[in-house]
Amino acid sequence: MTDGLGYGLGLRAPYYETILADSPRVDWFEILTENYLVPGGKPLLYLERIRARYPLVMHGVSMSIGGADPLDWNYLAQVKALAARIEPQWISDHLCWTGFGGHNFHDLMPLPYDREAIDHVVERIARVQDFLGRRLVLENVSSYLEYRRSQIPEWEFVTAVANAADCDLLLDVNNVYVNSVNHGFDALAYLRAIPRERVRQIHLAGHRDHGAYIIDSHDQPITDAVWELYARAVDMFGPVPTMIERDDNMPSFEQLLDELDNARRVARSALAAA
Amino acid sequence: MTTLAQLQRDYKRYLFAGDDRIVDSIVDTEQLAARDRLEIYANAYRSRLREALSAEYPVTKQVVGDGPFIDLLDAYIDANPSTSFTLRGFGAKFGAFVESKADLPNRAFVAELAAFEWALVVAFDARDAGVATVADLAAISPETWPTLELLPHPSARLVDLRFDTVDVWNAARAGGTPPAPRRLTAAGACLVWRQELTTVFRTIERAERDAWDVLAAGGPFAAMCDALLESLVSADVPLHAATMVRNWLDAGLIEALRPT
Repeated sequence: MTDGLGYGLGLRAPYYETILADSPRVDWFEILTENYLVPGGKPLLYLERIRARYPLVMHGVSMSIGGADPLDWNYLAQVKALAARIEPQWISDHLCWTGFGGHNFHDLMPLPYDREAIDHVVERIARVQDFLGRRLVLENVSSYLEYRRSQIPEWEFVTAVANAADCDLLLDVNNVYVNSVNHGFDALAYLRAIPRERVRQIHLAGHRDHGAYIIDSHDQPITDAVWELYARAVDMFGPVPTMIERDDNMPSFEQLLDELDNARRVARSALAAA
Repeated sequence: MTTLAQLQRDYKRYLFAGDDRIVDSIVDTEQLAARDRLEIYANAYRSRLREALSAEYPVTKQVVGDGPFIDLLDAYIDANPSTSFTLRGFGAKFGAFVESKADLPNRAFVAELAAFEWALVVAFDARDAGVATVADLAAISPETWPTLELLPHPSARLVDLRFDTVDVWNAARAGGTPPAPRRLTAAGACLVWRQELTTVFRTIERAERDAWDVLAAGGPFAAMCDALLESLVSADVPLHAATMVRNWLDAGLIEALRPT
């Protein structure tokens, strides 16, 4: 799938001034939706100014589409209102759950890969898409545990949900790699299985190796293994809009631009070879 | 309850209370036992919330000290789990929580410092609003002043002070070691608010504090003057009140004037 949006970065507060001063060569920015669900002040002002120059994509962490609690309509109404204000290219969140019994863990918890979870999530996606009046884009999450009750591999779960709910996918290549190491599966088998026409966006990020497992930490440069997997993803899915997530141990903006240029190079050579 | 809900409930019980019934639902691997895998999430949960609170209470952290501050945060996190989709507001009850910790050294001061830092957090992204001006006030007939309501700027918060908390905070933010707090000879207060994008604050005397308290509660100008009688002689009240209101208007502390 290609819609020409190109290569983006996460919009983060330390870079606001640089972005406005230099108008850097970034094709679009992805915002963390919750950071702008605030009454006023600096975050919204910078958002408006940067929106005037760049396309934006909204990426949330609180939808809890897989949660057993009722959907949070107050949250969704705020998401919808922000979308009306900044007109994002699309709205994404994660295929996960984030809390239970009225409490929020502020974490992206994996779902069990079974029929009950598929039916539950598909029904909720339908209601959210209805409310937002647009197709949702859902991201595969990194995970550090597996449930005994899971009956199918993660990629079959993701595929079943996306097809049944008619939603799009945000393919986080780093998360696929992290999970392939943590859970011992073939990352390429994952990529081959998911429905290519639904891959609307790609995430790249760095991770941390803890020996017995890898954490999706977003605080390091992207590793060679993830670049290689990205090349294979571009080969399979085409020039899908791609962005780099960096949330900690923040480098200079220049360094992020270099990393984004590398994404452009990797994609170009993958496409040339295809 | 669906089995999915049971699974999520069991995880929550593990996270909040160490209940280990979830462990049997998790796959063990050669590298990691189920419990170790769960602990990755439990540790991430705690460190994420600690990080959010530490960012909101930097000087409180410095004053209390890293180790004791983490203990305080953990106790707060356990007592006040997040109920919102956002972590904005998660730290709102921290000052009151500190106040309740009878065994905390310097408890009253630490609570006051936390309340001051929270006011700064609230001001940062409070609703944007225009401000009323002295010219707006001049356009209102003085006969109607007694019933005039002054709407405080949405970013404005009043913090009561019994210590030189603002001086301690300033010293710490300037890069120094926070000095030992000193008790004020007379109870005071501080107003915190935002001018455009800049958060500002000003310490105020008892009289102004009492008047602001009336205003913030929606009381009219006459009620503010009554409050001033607590600390001023009656002949001084009208002039003092008018000056105070002009200062508030100049400082951008008033969103609107409401003649009634």
